[in-house]
Amino acid sequence: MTEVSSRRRVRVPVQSLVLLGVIVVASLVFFVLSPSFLSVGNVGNVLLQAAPTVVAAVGMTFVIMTGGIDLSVGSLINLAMVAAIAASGVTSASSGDSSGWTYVVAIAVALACGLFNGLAINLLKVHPLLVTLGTLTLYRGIALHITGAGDRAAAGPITALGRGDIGGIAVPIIVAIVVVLLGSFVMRSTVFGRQVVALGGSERSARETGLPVRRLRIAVYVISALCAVISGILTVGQIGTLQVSLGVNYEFTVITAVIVGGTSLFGGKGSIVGTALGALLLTVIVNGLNSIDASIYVYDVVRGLVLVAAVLADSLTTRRLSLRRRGRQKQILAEATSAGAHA
Amino acid sequence: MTTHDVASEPLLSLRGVSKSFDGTPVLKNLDLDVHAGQTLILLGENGAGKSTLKNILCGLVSSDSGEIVFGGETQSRWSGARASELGLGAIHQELSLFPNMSVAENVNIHHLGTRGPFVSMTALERRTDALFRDLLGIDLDSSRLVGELPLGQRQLVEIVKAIQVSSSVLVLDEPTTSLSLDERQQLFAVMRRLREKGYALIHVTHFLEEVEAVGDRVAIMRDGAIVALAEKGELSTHQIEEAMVGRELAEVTRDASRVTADSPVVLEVRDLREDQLLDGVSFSVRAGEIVGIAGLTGAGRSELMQSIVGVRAAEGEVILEDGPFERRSIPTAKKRGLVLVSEDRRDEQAFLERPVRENITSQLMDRFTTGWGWIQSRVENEIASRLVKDFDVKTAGTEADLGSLSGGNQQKAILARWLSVGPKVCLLDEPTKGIDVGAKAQVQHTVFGLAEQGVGVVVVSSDLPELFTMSDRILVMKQGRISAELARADFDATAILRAASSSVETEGTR
Repeated sequence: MTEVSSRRRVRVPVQSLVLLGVIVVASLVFFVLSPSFLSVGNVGNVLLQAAPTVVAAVGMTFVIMTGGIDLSVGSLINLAMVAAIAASGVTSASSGDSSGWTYVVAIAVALACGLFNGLAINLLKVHPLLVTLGTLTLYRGIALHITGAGDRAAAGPITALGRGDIGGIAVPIIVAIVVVLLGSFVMRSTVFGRQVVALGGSERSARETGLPVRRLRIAVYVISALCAVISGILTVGQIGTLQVSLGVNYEFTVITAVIVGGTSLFGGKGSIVGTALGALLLTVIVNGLNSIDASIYVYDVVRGLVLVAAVLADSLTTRRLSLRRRGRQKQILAEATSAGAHA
Repeated sequence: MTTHDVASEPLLSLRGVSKSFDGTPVLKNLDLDVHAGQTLILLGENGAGKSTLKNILCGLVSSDSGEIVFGGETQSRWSGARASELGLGAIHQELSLFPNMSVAENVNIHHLGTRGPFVSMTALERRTDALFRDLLGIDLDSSRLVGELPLGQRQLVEIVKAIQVSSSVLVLDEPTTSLSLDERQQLFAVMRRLREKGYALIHVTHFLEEVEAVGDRVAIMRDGAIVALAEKGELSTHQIEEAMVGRELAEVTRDASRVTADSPVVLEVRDLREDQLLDGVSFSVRAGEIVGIAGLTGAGRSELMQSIVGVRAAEGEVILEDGPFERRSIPTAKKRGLVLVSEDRRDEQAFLERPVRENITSQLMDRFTTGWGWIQSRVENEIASRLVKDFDVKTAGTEADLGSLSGGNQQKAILARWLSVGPKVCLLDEPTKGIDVGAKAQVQHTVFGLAEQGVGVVVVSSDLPELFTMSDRILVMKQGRISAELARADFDATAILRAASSSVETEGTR
């Protein structure tokens, strides 16, 4: 037995270590340019800013691990929060307290949206990209209909999570850490998590070996929705108002964090810890650029470059795509473009 | 499961099973009995219906009519789930493994949980290491990712996985195609042990020598029916071959080759290397010569073909009759008279949603376009109709979508496309894979015709008899290298298999 365990290789999470290195280097660069960047207050700030993205990205990692994608997270957050605040009777941007029920309603709406995504993908048998592109518009449309495109006040219990602290540590940071640890455990050490990874590795094998493919697919979109709504509750609590623009383009931030964190867009490869580091890196960049007073237009340039660099690093490590697999990608692209043309 | 009489009552029976795809009958009213404690060898040419039969047995495809009887009970609802419930396991030709997961996880994919819903990798790996040692007598590090293993070992993983979930019937669909000699012997030992335990084994193969090694009974399929069923030893190899091919098909023979030492060299490959898959391959082909390439799956044969035309980037030189072929790519290859018909024709080279006409003429556009790029449809139609007739493509018409044709006819259409461009060198990767016997003979005659016209031909095939019929020389590949070269007088299946096999030891220590 000892012989067996000594023979086992310890898998060093190279990608996560590299990311950690990049985060350290980026922090040092910003520190040199603007010494206040590494002040205790600002480090806490970076972590607080990163927390909602980390939480949503953990959920997204489950989806992308299966080879899917969830473009609807931003809209889903918006709809869930709008519905929850409307349910507690708040109708203006300046006043009105939410009730404790807000949480229940927000989570219930989010779960329903996630379930709808999963069911629709199973039923329509089209690429998740198309389904969630549709629900992105759908969920946002419903939310706009409810609010009439106006902001809403977010006060009372709903802000407790976003603003509270336990022993001096902000609640969002604690929530993010718990979600990462839990997500990592589920992905690595439960039957469900391993089945998700297997599905991403080969959908054909998953079907042939009789894995519950349809149930797994529904589950990952529900998980993504649940993480998204927690992220939304943290964000709204921090801001104090529910803005019409809540969650617009959020899916790109979240997906970027997952990809930068080393999860393959084709599924089957990646880690939750990597995702958390990816989200952290993106926040460090935004916060750092802010602290050196960079032009706001530079932000997107840098974020874009980071994404391209991450994708490049990924494709260099997984160069050997089979021809068959390339064929499948082409097919997906073709499906996507032809459906886009019909839309 | 062995409560009933082993000798008389079959464990699993197919009664009057029929199946058609797109109106083409694949299985015709087929009966088959499988007994516990016996190994049934299922032989047949490509296209005989073996895979369909296997898929019906495993519940992956439902039959159009007929019934399945298991342990004396007629199964009204046969499905994959029902099959595994009854302990039926299968090793499919196309492996159903997860390359991104460890050997241990792959083997235990059906019961990953070691403590309820939780997974302990250490426990899984210990369990799997023991399985490999007990079943196959191999020490395999089960924490390795399956995607990192050589193909032969992946096959072993699939085998162990299937054995582990089956308890009554095990279907093995050509499990030995990528196994070395040693690995084959290990598999056969396992098969004999399972048979003694009372399993019913169904072994699908086209290697006749495996009948002797593991078989109890032999069933030979042709054209969707079982044409011969016999105890081992009742049929001679020659009789088996005759039954497989059918007597109406005369042996395909080739006139004496006219290649001499003076024939110009039309293709020369020098030290071709590709990251991991090709390890310095050199050979040359003369005009009018047919060079066969043998080897196990994963030896790098397809990769060699792809590297020569430039689909795959590789270092090394390729020299054609008119000089070195640099900056290799398909369009320049075609201009220089070098074509590749790839193994995976359907996926890589077919436009399934376009008409047969366009698929056939897509490489001949210059013959029916004017200088201004106008297509002369009349000429195109004539060319298409002629090629459809020449290559005997069975289609409703030249305007039918390629996707509406049967697999074999799709392949014939793609072959027609490439062979009609007038190449000087033709690379054929498994040219007769998956097509029916009649079409196979036609393809072979077409290739002979090409050689007679002075075309240099390279044929990759896993079908040794086919290589023996067609080739002037056979090169054997092993792990990205050419390990042997045989002249026509020395063709011998055992010698080829030995040259193609790598021992488990050398692979294990890599």
